[in-house]
Amino acid sequence: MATLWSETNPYLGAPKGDTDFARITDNVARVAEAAKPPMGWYIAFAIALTMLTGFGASLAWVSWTGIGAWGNMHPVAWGFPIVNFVFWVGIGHAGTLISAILFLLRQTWRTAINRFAEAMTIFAVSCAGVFPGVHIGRPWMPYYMFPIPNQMNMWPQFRSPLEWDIFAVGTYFTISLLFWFMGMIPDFATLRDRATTTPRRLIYGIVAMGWRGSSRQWHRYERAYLLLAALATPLVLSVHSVVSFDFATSQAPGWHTTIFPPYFVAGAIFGGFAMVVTLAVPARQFFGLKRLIEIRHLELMNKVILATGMMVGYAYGMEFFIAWYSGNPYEVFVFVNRAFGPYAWAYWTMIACNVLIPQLHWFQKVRTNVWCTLAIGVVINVGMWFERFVIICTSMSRDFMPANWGYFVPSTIDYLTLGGSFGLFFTLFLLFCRFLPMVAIAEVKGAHRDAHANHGGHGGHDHSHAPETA
Amino acid sequence: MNAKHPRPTYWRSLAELDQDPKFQQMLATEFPEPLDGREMAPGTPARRRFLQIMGASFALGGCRFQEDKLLPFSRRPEGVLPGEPRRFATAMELGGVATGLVVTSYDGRPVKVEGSPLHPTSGGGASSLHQALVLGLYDPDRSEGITRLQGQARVAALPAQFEEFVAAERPNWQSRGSSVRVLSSLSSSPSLAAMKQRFLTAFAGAKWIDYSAVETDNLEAGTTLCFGKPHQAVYQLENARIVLSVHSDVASSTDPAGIVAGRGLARGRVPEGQPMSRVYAVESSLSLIGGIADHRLSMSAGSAKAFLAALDAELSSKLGDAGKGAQPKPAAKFLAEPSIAKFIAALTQDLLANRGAAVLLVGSRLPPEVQALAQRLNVLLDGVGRTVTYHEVPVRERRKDALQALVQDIQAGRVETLLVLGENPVLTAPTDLGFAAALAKVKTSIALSEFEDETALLSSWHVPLAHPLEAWGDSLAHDGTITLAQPLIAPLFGGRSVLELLALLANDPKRDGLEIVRRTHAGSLPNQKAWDRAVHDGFISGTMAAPASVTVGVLPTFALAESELRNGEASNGKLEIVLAPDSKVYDGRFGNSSWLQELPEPLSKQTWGNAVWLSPGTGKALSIADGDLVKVSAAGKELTLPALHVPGQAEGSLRIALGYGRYAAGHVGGLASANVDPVGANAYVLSALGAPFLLSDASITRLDGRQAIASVQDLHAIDAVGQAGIDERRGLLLAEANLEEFQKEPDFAKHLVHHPPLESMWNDPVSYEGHKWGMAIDLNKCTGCSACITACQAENNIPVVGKDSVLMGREMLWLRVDRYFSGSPENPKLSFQPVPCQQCENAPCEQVCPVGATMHSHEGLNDMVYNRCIGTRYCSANCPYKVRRFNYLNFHLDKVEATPFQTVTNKKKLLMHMVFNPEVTVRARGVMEKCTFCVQRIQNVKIKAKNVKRSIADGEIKTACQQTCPASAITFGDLNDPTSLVAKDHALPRAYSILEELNNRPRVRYLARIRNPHPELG
Amino acid sequence: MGLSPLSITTMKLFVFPRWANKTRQLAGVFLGVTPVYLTALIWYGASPKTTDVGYQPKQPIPYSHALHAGELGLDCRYCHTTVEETGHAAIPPTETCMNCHKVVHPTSPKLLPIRESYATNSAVPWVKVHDLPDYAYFNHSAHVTRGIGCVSCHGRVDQMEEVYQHESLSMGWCLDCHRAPEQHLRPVSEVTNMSWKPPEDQLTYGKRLRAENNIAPSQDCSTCHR
Repeated sequence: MATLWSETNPYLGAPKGDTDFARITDNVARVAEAAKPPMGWYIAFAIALTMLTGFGASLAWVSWTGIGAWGNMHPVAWGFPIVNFVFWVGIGHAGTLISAILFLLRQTWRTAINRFAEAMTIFAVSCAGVFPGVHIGRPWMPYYMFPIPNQMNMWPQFRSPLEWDIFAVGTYFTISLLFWFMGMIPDFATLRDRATTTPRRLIYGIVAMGWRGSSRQWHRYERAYLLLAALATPLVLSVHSVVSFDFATSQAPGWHTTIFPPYFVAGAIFGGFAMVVTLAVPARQFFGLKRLIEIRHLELMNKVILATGMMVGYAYGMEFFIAWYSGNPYEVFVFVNRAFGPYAWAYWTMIACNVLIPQLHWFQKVRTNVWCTLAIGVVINVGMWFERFVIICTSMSRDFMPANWGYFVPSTIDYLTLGGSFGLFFTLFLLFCRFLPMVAIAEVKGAHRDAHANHGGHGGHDHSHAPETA
Repeated sequence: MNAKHPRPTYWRSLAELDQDPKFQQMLATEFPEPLDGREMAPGTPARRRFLQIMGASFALGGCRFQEDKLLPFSRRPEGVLPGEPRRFATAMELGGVATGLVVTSYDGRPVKVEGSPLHPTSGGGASSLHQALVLGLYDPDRSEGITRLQGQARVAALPAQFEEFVAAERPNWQSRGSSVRVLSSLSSSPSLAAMKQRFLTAFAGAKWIDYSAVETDNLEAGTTLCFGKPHQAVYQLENARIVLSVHSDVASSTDPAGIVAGRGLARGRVPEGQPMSRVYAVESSLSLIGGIADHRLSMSAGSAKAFLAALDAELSSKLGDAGKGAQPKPAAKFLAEPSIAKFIAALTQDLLANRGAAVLLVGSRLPPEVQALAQRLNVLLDGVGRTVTYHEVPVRERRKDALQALVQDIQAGRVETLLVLGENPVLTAPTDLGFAAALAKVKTSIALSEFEDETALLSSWHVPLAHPLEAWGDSLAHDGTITLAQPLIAPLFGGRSVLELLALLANDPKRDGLEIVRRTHAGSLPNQKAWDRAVHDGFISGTMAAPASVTVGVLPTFALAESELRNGEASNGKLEIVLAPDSKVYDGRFGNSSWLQELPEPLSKQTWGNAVWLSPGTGKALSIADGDLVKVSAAGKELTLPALHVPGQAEGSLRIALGYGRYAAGHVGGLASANVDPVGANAYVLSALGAPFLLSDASITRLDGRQAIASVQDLHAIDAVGQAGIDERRGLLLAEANLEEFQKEPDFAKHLVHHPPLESMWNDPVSYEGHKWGMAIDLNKCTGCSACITACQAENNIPVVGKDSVLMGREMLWLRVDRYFSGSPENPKLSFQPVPCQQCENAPCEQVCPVGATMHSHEGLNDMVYNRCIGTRYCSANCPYKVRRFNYLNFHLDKVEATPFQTVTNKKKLLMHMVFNPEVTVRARGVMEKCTFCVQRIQNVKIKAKNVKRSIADGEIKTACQQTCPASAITFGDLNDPTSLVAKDHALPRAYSILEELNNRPRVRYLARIRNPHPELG
Repeated sequence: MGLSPLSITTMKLFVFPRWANKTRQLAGVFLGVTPVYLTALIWYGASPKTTDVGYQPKQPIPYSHALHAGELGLDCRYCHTTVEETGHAAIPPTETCMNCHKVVHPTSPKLLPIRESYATNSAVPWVKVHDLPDYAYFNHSAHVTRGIGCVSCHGRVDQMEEVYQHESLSMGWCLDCHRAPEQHLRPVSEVTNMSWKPPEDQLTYGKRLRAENNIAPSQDCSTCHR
């Protein structure tokens, strides 16, 4: 079906000749302008929406009965909710990395995918944001965690890593949102100008914030973009480091490790890129953006995945070594228990998905094959979820005193919540694909060789290597 | 300390409630949920809850300022300070033995039971059964009124109707007294004895049968064999250097004298200074004393006689003249086994070396011959007057004969009227007796019981029995001291005490319990002053039974059956089954107490039910795994229940706890009429009149299917990796050493873990000026009896979570008693470790709470603030001791079927809230909780002291666990006061804190366990 | 911002009239101000100062503290006898009222509920005015015996016809005093004196009393929450 779409694309007809500015604009804008999205979109949206409903239902049930509806127990007080939280926060990273860091590094190929990645970031962080709120025992009073004046003369406790999370994730979300939105302004303007109906013109007009494409505006745009990129860059490192502090600063064996911050960040980028390819591949198929999101781009991402995957693998190994080297019986036990205890199945799933399978990307055939890319991307996402499960659940299930040991078994509601969070993510993402410019039109043009052929006024980019468009 | 207290105002409203026809109808029509919260299992929402959700949307009216009413007394009674606790001495009788108690009552509402420090035997200690007394008082399942059998149906009757009936029947009873029988709960009450006489004279020819499901009169029979007259033995274990326990379970809550024994044992287990006792245990199943024992021998219960005979022969030969009339050495093969022979040799040597300081304890359910042998040896070893004293008891017909005669009389139609007073024979009588069938034959049967239980359901009349805290009474303590019981509250459901009912039947001029009891003691307590004094103390001082001097007669040579020469044969048809009262539900009478049902059994750690205990070895031999559903059969009777591997169980010996599998206990223990499944399986079906507690030639077969055992420790089978981990760290958490090792290196416990110098990132949050609360727990004294757990639950309003939640690992108990095995599974060493919150000075929980709901107090407590807690559970994740408990569900409110929008839907169940301690916040769902060192007690004493500008004396503040501990293994106090007991304990060389390498600096220190093995057994 | 000629020609492209440019500044102001305003609103609107102070429920009997404590000058402890020894300053039993009202206004219709209660031995359903949450454990004796006057928390009850809540009784309010009790300390003999004035500046006087009686109010959580 996917191939079918690319051959006879309702918006583009059969792909022809070279890609020029008009074509780029057309490719992207038409998706948002089309009267009807492809059938595939409807099917996907229906599925996503159903899962989202499951999300709502499960959370409603949890807030009604108490979080005992989940499988959380003594000693595994943090079960699926926190696993999901860390997982989603991690996903977000690739977005910021691609849009900010690669921008600063003048990696022009990013333009094909950065809009995607940024959107993904926003949506992933939104999913993550749900969990800290609902996982607490009294979900109706999370405001105790915010430093707002109150009649109790009480502050939150700033020594607590959870408190740090509030600020880290909050900042991250805000910056990412600004970055994403600002990047879209020129494209909104394009859509507005091409708009045929008044409502569209109004709505896009408002979000375009009166963009007229004057060189002064372009100038400020580029400056602001640069600044935000610079602001967002440290966040890529800080957010997941702070999230990792939740574990690293605690005493529990298996958590109490200094390697966590870099290890979490690497893992986040790893998982994030995996999610980008997982999204990009179907999108370029369905919406005929093959010309913009090229195999070359996918291959580059696969290389990043391969690299970060090996970093993660290194971290896994290093955890074991340090545990053994520390000579602390409790540390040693936790890791032996991970690999050979009751949760061995989860551990080896993680190893297989995150360390072994990505090695296939050493082969160019695999790297450049969209379906392999997609498959491996999905596998890695599974693996990264399991990584968090292993860290949280296996460590807690057997800590210091044997009398407390237990075995965590997730409840039906747990699975519903997990699936539901994907529902939320894909619902948002599909809406994005339908109504917003999926690819940064302006930036792609900026990175396009024509932009340099007629010394394009806009685009403060490096002009040296323009992308080869086949 | 005057007699009846005014019925506090809010009881009136409840009383009105009781008469309210609408309410009565609701009670009749309601279809309540099980109390144990099983409908709360995640994923299996009860239909009711969905309806509630629907209903809630309408209930969301809008919140107004909630208006509270203040209802002052119209006339405030003398000495009553509203809201101030008052304490009254009373007593509880179990198995004919009284334990002196002190009950704390708020505004006329008893909320906490403690052992009476004044009382000569309880001495401040109390068992879980006593602690759970208050919960039983407020049990909504207690029968609310008199019912009678009409055809097949039970209909309610008014007290007046019953009294009319009695008045009408009385002439018949007087004329045909020989057709009247009374089956009375075994009791030592002088008033009851007197009432019995009145009754028997009023109805000439009537017969009186003492009944107890688990207490035998084997000791009386045994002492008759041995001394010629029946005697009661009172042990002074604190004087014993050598203690031999043969299948005895002293120190357990099932032993009426358990508290005395526990204290006595503990006093002998102090390794500092005084010589330390050495305990030998021979037993078929693990027991508390087996846990204390320095040497433990697993041996089937059947072979006890042979073992003691052999010991008798051995000792007597060494004693020469003194040991005349000894048993011949029995021809039992197993006695020749090296391990056993070695054991007997060492034991003999010790016993002889410690004449006058040695004592033998044998299980009260072992046959009279065994009792006789044991007492004979106690006398030969000069124990009399030192480690044991005897006092005579009246000669009585053997109880089981009397019971048999009763049933025969009924079958022969010689019985028209049968009174069952506070017992439940339909459930507990040996099945081959066919009591239920017989009961149906009786024209008029009157069952006096707290619940409409199995017996009450079949009786033509059921009269509600007053709860022990609702009635006047008296009975004898273990040492014979007359102990008085006074009511703390007027009967909630109009129950009558045994005395009151008998008074009514016998047409006694005095009908009121108080008057009856006073009449009994008119002699010893002539005037009001003396009486008030006795009621205040809870006992009549100086009434201890006079020790009798005994002379050992020559015992016949006891024959030994083939099964009695057997030991450790793990093959079907040759197994033995030991039936024992349960340490939680006793003979089943506490089956509806959710506290006790959820209390982990001290040795198996099982909650909510019973199981067949068998040794891992036997399990392997018969290919039966943990949790397998099995069928045990003996003498043609069968029982199905799950199997549980218990280390230290004798090979070929099975143990099953009695008192479970009830179908008319209530919404907790099982109620067929409300489709509430029984908890556990009823093991009484196996018992026979001839062999009520020990069945030989039994078999066990595995059925398809398994049944999860809701245990709070090792809930899931431990794999090899886990086992390795446990073995590795047991020694780090539990400091143990032999006596001579300890004497060589007294501070060995401080060197268990080697760690770098400990430094903290944080500065000390506070400098501990003023008080500095700390606790010390002596692992050498702790018997593991778990009374502290229930005491804590009662004091701190800890919710019951129910079996399903326990299976998910969500039990809420603040205080755990961890149980560890070491050594071989056949003959393990047992160690207990009570773990409350360690109140760390450098607490990991405090640093991670994002909202500061757990903060460090200036006296070093980790204050837990429920109303600030939002339930991130980070503190629990970061607590290395995992002592924090989380309210995953609305455990308290769900019990009374309340919802977030509707406080109470079932008013009857609201009665359960009366048990709450008003000094402690009741936690709702979603908040963390943990041991607070009973901070409410600390604060109240501090305020009282400061009000009058005085300082707090050491021991003035006692935590609930410390207060109830019979062994006084727990000390608590101010560490800043070097003279305080706890400071001294902390200063002991063998004091250590667990996981101290984490630098949490716990305020709880443990005193290492010291064993005192015989040099040759090592 | 001024528009370049080019933009004027392309104006038709835009659906928005020129003044729309203003909305951006307005939006900026709005976004800046709203949060501040909302916080302030909640901070004051939802604080017990606003919601609880002045709570004056209707009582079953129009009992006037102004008359009894004020004009007649009864000492608080005549009725609230337990205040110095227990946590609660117990509401007096009907007996206490009848001590006088057997002879004073023995037939007054207003006192009917009192007489009923006395006759039927049932309680008079007074409505609680100062209602702390159940998780806050306040102890009267601990404060009265340290020299905190009734008036400090209950206001001039001797001037209240019908009692109303005078202070917010919020946690912050408690802490203010626990942190600096000298603001309210007085000689223990004067606690029930509604019109007591410090002989000198309250703070210096309070500080002295604090030192003399070694008043060290704790701010630990477990002081009030158990």
